Amino acid sequence: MKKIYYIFLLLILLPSCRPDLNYEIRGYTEKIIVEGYINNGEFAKVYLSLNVPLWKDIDSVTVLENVIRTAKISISDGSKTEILTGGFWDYSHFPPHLYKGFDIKGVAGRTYSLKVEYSGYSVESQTTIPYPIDSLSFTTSDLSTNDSLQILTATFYIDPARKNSYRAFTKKKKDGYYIETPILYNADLSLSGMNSFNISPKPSEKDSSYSEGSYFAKGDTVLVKLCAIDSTSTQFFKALTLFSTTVGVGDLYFIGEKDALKSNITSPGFGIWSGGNIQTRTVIIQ
Amino acid sequence: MKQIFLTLILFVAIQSIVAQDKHILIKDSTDSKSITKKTFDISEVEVTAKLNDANLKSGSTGLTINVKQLKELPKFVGESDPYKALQYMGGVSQAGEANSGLYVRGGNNDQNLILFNGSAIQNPTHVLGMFSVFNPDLVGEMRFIKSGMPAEYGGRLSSIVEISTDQRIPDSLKLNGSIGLISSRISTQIPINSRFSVYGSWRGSYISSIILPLLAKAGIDSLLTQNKYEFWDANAGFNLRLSSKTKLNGHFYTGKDELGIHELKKYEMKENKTFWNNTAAGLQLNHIFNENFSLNQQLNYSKFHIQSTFEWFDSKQELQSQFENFSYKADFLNLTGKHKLKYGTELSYNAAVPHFIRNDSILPIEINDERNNINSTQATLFFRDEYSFCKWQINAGLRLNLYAHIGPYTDFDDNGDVAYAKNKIVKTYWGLEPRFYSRYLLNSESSLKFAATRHIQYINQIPVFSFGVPTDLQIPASLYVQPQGSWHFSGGFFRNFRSNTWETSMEVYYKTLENQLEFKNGIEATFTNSMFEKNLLVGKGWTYGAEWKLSKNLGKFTGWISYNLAWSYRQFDQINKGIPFLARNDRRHDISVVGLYQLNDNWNFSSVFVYATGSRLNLPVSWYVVDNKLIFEYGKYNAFELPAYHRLDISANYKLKPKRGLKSELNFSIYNVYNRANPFQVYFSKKSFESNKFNFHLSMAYLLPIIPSVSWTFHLN
Repeated sequence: MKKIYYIFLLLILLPSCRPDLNYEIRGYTEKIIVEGYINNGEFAKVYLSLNVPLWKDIDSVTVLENVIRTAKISISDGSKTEILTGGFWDYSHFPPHLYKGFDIKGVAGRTYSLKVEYSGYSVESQTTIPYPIDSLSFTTSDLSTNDSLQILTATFYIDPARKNSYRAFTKKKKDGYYIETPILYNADLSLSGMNSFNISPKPSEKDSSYSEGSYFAKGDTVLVKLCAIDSTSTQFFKALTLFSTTVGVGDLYFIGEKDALKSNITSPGFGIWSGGNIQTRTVIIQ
Repeated sequence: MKQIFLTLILFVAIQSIVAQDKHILIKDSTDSKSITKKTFDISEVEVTAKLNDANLKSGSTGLTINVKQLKELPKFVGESDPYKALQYMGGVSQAGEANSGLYVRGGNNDQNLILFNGSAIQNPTHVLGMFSVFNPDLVGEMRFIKSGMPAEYGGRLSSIVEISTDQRIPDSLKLNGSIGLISSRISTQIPINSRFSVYGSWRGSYISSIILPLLAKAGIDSLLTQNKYEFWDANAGFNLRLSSKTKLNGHFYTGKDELGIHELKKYEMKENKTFWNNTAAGLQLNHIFNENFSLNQQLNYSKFHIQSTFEWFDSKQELQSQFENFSYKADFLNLTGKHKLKYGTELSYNAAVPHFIRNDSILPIEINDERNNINSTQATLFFRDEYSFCKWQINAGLRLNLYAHIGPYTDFDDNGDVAYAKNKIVKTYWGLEPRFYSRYLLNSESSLKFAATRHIQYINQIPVFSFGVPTDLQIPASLYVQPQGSWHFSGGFFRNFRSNTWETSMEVYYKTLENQLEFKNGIEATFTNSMFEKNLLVGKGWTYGAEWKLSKNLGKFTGWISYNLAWSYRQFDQINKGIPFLARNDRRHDISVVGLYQLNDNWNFSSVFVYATGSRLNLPVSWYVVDNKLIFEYGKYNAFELPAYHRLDISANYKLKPKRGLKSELNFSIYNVYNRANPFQVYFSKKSFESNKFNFHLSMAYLLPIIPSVSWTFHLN
């Protein structure tokens, strides 16, 4: 009987057997991650990094270790070609390492090609800068649950033939930088005529305007940046922004579980080369 | 002599839970099912017994579960659960940690028709899947059909679980109950007279009101103890013998779970509260015209409703999903010579609110305008004949279904909306389900069985999460959703040894699955009320495998070992580049070892050991940062295998001395004896996310450690 008791005791005291995840069995392949923009009236900006296998720490340090600083990046507008210059630091972006152009400026309606050469690989892409947004105006309306806050609405004309969608960013004085409205307007490219959209930024807990949520305080001066993007960029940002609208769990994005992000970068690259037509307005909330 | 005595005891004990007190089964002669069995008339009292070679000779009506035996298995926090114990039967995969789901022969959890006194139960689980909703004291009979499904059953692809309360008139008042660690229950059966009895039961938890505050006082993690969780359920019913040949039974069930997760506050989800409830009610009228002809009629209602409310930033969000079913079934049983004919009809009306969103925010989620409600009707005719000759038994049948999606419904389309008025037919589906089953007795100790059956399922439950909160959306076949279909082929060899003391079996199967559904983008579909019917991915599946079982039925020591070797595949054109992938519930090896030992009149012991290959999981292969967002890149779909699931439970029952008619017993159980940390969930935990700095860690959650429990169960009659 005593023996049984000891066996029983031993069983209970056995340390918990905690199995670990084995990531190594997964099929990781290295990719050049491209994030490039060329906007109307601006020079091109490109950020490059490598994708990181899941078994490595998911932190800022790992990202910085995987930044590509020695690539050759060339852009062309069809008549002129420019090699971008690396080594710049853009602290409003992460990772901050930036390749920048100094010659070719974005022009509405033009198509721009991108070529990235790195470590014997070459990846390419093309994007077109949309035409300016027509008949843009802003209005505010009362928020029923809070007298001091307002809803900001943008109204503009959508020409369905252009196949553009729209991203919105707002900068309140108290925040000091632009905060994205995590919604891609006209993501299905199905709207036409005059349309109105609520601008609904999603500040994070660390932002000064966090308590205002998606609304705007009366008397605030707000810079509003609306950016029209072409149909191929739309496919990429559609999944990215839709998901952040809906879940936003700690800024973590499980994109592409069933249907991967639609990149316009050739293999072995991934990411986005996006032309944008930005219009910035100052709105005083009344 | 001893052998005969034990056999007799087994014959009687195996019948039902109530039979344990009486040592005789008083079978109501008006039960139309009973005329299919060998019976002995003794002044309107029948004694029936399960043949202990039933596994060799049984027809396609499936396996009658020994409920009493399952109730003696180890308990989890004091609750016995015969429904969950179905996972130990061959052909059913281990669902995993805190999951009462049934994954039968590679099928999905929604492909099982779970009938409680004939009413379909949409979500049969309590406490995040740890328990089933069935009060064990009321479970009188359980029948489980996983292959060769006869034509009178339909509507699901994988299996039928038929749970019935005891429908006999007791001769005296009965009171049963149990006091456990997190919940207690009580049930009673009251004979009003010799023809009429009523019953009722109640079960409730005290997790948030007593257990969590005690844990908090003991210094347990405050995040855990600030969560809210309670559940309760109640049953009521009556058994009325209208005449010696007519019987009317009625039942009502309702139950509710409420959950509040404190940790979600970190994600701006304040005041979050989720509750779900099942309701079922029904009437059954049995009439025997003569000894060869009877009619069984059922009128049933069931409803499942889930609702989540939470505040997100300043806006209140409400998500709902609901499914209601009204049905009528009439089946005739006609015995003519060696033929047992069963034929009848089923009529049903379903009202589904697959997905309802209400919010007061200005976020561009539209206020629900009832566009997603899907109403449908179904009419079914069925016929089957069970024919026995020589050493053969053949059961052949056919089901003919006409299903209609009816208005009101609006097909929102960019080229112009199409509106359907109330009760106007939107879409119809015809379905023909041939069923065939055969058995051949090789000799008195062995038999061969073969079945080929077609199944059609018109109601889908599409999971949003794979565990815990039953957030499956109820999506019936409709204008854009085709019904699921399946062909199921199975065969088996059955052999008994030593006068049926030992039973062995080996079965193989192959099953196809058509029109399987997945959300295009998983969880995000929950937060948009666009026409999700148009945003579903449609694919197919196929499963195959083999099952072995060895059982010992007699003696002080009884039990069984079952082993499943199985493969379950899915293929969707838009997932994994169209390449077939292993289903989430694919478990290559699945072993259950169940042992029961009767030491003496007072003590009995039992244990369960289960081992199952880890289920499949879709994890990213790499990650990167674009647009200041951390993005995970996925590779081959479901290519990741979770660590194996295994655990050992042990239990001891001690019968206390009866006092004034009160019989009671103490149960001591240990769940997960060697404290195996079985994976419950894989998630990303956030260490920090400051401006331009982040640190995530991929973690695996383990839910249930070693859990000893004690409970006191009593019976008064």
